[in-house]
Amino acid sequence: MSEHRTSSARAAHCLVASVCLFWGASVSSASAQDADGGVAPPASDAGIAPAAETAPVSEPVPAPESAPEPAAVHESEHVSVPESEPVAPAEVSSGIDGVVTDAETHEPIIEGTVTVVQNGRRATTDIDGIFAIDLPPGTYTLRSFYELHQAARVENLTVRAGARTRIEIALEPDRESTQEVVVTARADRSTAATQLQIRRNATSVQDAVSAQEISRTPDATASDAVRRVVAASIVDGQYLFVRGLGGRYTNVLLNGSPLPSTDPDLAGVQLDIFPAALLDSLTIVKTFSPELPGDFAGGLMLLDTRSYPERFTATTSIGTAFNTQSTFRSTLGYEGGSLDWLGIDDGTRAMPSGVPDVRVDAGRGLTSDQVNAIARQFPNHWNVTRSTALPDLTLNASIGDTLDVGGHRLGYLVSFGYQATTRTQIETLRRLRVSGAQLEVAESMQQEGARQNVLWGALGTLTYEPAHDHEISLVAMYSRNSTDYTGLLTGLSESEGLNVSARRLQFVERSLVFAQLLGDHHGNMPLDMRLRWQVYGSLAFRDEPDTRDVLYTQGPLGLQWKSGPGSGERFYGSLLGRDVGGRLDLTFPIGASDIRAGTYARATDRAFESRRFAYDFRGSNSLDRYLGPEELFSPDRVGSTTRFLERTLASDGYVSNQELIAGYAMTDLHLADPVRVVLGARVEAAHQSLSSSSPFASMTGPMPRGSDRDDVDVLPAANAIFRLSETMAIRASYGATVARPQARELAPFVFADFVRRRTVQGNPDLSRTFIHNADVRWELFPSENEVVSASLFYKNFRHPIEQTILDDNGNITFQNVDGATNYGAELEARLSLGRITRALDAFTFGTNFTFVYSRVSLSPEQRAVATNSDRALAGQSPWVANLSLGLSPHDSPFSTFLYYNVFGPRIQDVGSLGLPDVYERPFHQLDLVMSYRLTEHFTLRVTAKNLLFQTVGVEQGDVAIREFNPGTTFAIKLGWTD
Amino acid sequence: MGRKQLGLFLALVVAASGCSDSEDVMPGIDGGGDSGTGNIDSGPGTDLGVDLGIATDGGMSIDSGPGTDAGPECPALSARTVVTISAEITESATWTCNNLYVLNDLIFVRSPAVITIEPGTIVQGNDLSALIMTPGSRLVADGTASRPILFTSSKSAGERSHGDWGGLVMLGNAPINLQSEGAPVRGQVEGIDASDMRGQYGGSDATSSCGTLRYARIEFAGYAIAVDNELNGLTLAGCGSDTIIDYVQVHRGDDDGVEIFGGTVDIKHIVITGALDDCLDWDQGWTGRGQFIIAQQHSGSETGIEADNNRSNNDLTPRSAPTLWNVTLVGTNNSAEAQFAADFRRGTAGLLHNVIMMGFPRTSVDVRDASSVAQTASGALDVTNAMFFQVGADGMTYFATEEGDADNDASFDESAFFMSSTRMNTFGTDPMLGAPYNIAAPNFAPAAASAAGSSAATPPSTFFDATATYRGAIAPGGSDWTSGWTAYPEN
Repeated sequence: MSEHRTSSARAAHCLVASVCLFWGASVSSASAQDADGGVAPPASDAGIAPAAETAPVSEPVPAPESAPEPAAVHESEHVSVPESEPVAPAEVSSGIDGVVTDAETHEPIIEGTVTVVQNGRRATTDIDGIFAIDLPPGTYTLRSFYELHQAARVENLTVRAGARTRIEIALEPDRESTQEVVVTARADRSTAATQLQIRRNATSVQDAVSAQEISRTPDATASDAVRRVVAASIVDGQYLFVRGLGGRYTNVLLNGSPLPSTDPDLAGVQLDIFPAALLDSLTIVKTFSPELPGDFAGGLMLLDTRSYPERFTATTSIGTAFNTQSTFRSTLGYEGGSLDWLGIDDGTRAMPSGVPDVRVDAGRGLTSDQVNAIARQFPNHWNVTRSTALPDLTLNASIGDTLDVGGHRLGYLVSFGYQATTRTQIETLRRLRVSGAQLEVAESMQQEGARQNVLWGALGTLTYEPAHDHEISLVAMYSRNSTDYTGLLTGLSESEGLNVSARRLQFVERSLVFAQLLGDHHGNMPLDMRLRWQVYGSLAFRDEPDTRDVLYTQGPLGLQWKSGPGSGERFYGSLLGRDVGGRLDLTFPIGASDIRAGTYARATDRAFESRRFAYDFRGSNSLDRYLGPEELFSPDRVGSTTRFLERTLASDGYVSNQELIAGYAMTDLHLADPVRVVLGARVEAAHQSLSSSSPFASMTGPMPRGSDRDDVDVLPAANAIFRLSETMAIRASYGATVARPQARELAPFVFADFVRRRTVQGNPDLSRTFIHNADVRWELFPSENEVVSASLFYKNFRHPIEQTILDDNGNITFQNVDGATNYGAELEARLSLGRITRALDAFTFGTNFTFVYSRVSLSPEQRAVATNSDRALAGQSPWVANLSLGLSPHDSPFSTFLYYNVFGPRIQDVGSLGLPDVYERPFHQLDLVMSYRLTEHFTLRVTAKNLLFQTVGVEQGDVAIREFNPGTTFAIKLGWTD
Repeated sequence: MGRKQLGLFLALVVAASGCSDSEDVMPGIDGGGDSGTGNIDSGPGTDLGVDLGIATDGGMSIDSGPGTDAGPECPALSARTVVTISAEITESATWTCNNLYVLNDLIFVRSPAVITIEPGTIVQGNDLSALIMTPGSRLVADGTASRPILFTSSKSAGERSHGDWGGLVMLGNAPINLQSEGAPVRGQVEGIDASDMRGQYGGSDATSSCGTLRYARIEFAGYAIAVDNELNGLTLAGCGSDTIIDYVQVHRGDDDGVEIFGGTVDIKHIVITGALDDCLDWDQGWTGRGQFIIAQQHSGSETGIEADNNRSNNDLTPRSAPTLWNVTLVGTNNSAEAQFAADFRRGTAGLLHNVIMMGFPRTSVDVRDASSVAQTASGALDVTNAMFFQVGADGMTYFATEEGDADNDASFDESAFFMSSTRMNTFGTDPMLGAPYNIAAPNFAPAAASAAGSSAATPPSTFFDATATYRGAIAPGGSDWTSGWTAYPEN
């Protein structure tokens, strides 16, 4: 499955650029004003000087694109529009510049609102508390407000022609409270600095990637972007692993709501369906806090969608990409449908309408003639064609604005992205065996696979502010992607003892519809409480129409068809997942502390249905076996040369339900000034049931098999922060979490892995895993943009679920092993090299490293069958490292960023019967991003991915059982913003 | 109801006639009076033809002819009361031939239940059904030559095909070679949910009895879930030496005819016809014995005997090392086909003596993988006193040349090894079987003048019939033990 690596290596770039464009869309008006008004050298006579640490006034504001990040020099950081902003000449327009700070702490207030009473113009402060408003000369009154602070009015401000009036506004806290800065729903989390600010104030251990950072990388989707987070890595191109834990140990919340998986074959949420352009931020929470869903252990990813923009914005971009292994090379395909380019099958692959809703089985309900008539309705496309792969295409557009509706804000943002890529992967697959205590290659086969990927999606947000501090948002999302796969497998089959030639034609389309309504109320509420609520619903579809498999073996007269499983078969599968839920969170301030309580409910169901049909040889002429598939399976041979039958198995369908009700209470205690403690517990009551049966498996209905489980778990959590100084803190936490089996893992459905030539089957007897987590972290924030941290963590798993080898044929299933323990350490630094010397001001540097020591404990039987009982938890990398280096000189339209990511060897499959464990080899990924601002409105961006020309390798013992070159991808994109 | 009464009446008729066989064995009996009842037992025509073929052979000698068996009479199929079996069986039961047992699911029989199936009883399988005897349970299916027990498809004759139902699975606690550091690891039988613990087998009880299966036919069974994950006509997994498998035919089964996963079970008087994949397949350390084994391939079949030790680890022990005497392997004798007679691989040992191999267009015996080749050197893997006839594309190339990719046996030279005169193998001599390639009415008995009667070794007297001093499974000119209880319906 690691081809996904290539597919995710596809043209990230378009969407990325649109991130940047997007970025323009959600920029704060302060910055926008900068853009409009150009650089704003403050008039020296403006009077009030801003706070020293924000200090942007003495230097020209650099072009946003050149804003280095992370850990940019302060001067540039308050400009949060990297690409859409022109490098404006210093022609000064009149207006007001200022900074809003907290009167007590003198910290800048982020996202504070400043309005001009006379004309209603408003601005929002940026990360440094800075705002700017262009105004014609005159006398004005400003009003500034911010949550939990008293509003302030500044009157009689004079603006002179060609000059900027400067002002500092200090807001008094509303009450005696040093409560954490709670970033409101409309806060722009897009900048790295904002993320650091949030992180600094959060009680849990968390790491984040801002949209600004995402925009700099070649990342197209959330799965690409998340690699930038400490200890995060992506498996198979789409599944998130945090601290080396994936699948059921990571979870994803979109604006606080869980997201369903769209793939029945695999656990976890597919991140590659989220265009990075739609994301405002991406946060990985690593420690449990009672208000979070308790089903994670490695990390919980919070995806936050874009908030509404502060001014009208429109962007568009077009891009293309070239992959060295695919583009302009020979690629495979077959006869598809006219809407494949939209990721939609137009009916070409649909099951013929004449197929009855009962098992197609001559002699049991249907006659042979009826079955033959049904069989003849199937389209007869089996041939594989060759063509030249075209370059990738990506398109993006967005539009957004904030309207004034009767004095209330109404913001909207709609974005759309499309990308189409083609990737070819040629590899050698080996199967090993032990012979005479030696490891030897039992089989070596060549596989060529081509994937046409289409991904498009739209996201809309609508936010209304009926009153200040009351906000209601609607988020709606639609995402669709498809993969059209053509695979050829050739070589000497160990099993057959013959040369074989197999092919698979497979089209998988996935879509997700998601809608969410959120409210946030914290002004004029009883008991000063803050009330947040949300309801959401989602529908996930996965459709796999007419996957065709056929296998030929070498006969005396050439290749001949071998009928049997996986040969002459058509598979149809469809999945519908529904998910509804809601949550309510209340925060009551009590003095310096607060008490929080909330409740959460979720109901999920999922229905999977599939059918398998097959052709069987029944001819009397052996020579007919030598016919090509389209002749062999032609309608007029059904009933003579071939017999058509249904092979649907009892496990080929399932219905699963999960209901979860949770409640929590916690208190956030500011015990003494430097100490803050969060204590609480969450109770989760979950019911999970799965019933596996297929109406097409049998005329008589075999007994379904399934599981039905109830778990009630009390999940305590304790987090403490010791602020050693303004810039340094130590955090410690303990939390208990759970990991529940996925529907796919419970379902006894047999999934045929064509690439690995084995089957994967679920286990209805799985039980949930209970995990104790403990963390200690030391953090230093040398400046708003810089961070240095070190963490230690411990995790103890009771009955973790592992993928294990079922039999000596290498087939796979899932089992609860006895236990596992992980010990880990994380180091992170994001620094500006300007610290060393001003000459290096243009350089930023970021790195993080995670080390995990993991050991499983096995039961006696498990220990007996395992080759190696002293090993890490499957999928756990012993280390993950990230490094970034940025160069973005001031006053230059160029910027360049270099990114490097690597993970340590991790177990893909646990070995048994003397065969060693299967490891995925470290992949050293080096990416380069360069952008060049052509004009005020146009930006050109060039990215290169996998510059070290690395190959993906999977090893068993010292033998590479899989190895392929994903190629290096070069992309170019032209973006326009208004 | 009316049908049942008619059936009872017919039962009396049957009883009066002195014959009590099911329709497949003696279709003519119920074919006359019962055809109007609309029972699924319809196609006497086909079966009649098949059985006539037997009758021809039977003219020579039948060890137990109709009417020689005492005991209750079996009514015609249509007169039998349908008993549908849908749930796990935990208590002992006796299945009698006045009922028609229909398996409606994977039916697990749990220890210590004993299922006794009386002679002449018919068990039919619905789609995706199978009878699975879990370790500690026992099957006592002890038929007779005139009234064999029949396991077949629930479809009506004419519509039946391989894979119509799952087959018979017998699991025991005898040693298998899924082991680690000397501790036995249980296997999980193919074709059953990976997580279903009821599918486990293997242990340390070498005598573990899976029961008795004698004078029984298994038809149209087997089911392939995926490659290397299938139910076979008869699966014997971890069955020990107390198990009795004798006079068993597996006909037109999907995947393999008989697949033996480890254990020490002995098999005797086995007829495997038209298995889709291999006729006899062993893996995971089978160390039992066998005598009088006939395998006939149909178009598309793969191998007469496919013999493995362990796929992942070729040298696990106990190593598969059965000893077989008096084996007749018949291919299609069609040069467009790619069958071969026996493939020894993945570390297996095994001894075949007194063998006929004929009609294999690809090759006769192939030894591959270094670990199996090593067994030839030690004498643990050998084929002696064998007749090779009509092998290779031209009928006279007994061992395929292996070059390049196909050389998967470290340059082991089958030709030099098996053609060595010390092995007493003969090449190109016609064993003169009656009708070996006939699908509908085969006759595997050599003519009295056949050379099969010469150059044979004498089986040791333990277990084996030491008088079988001939090559192949049937004595030249002697009585044909396949007569009377076997059948070869096409569909």
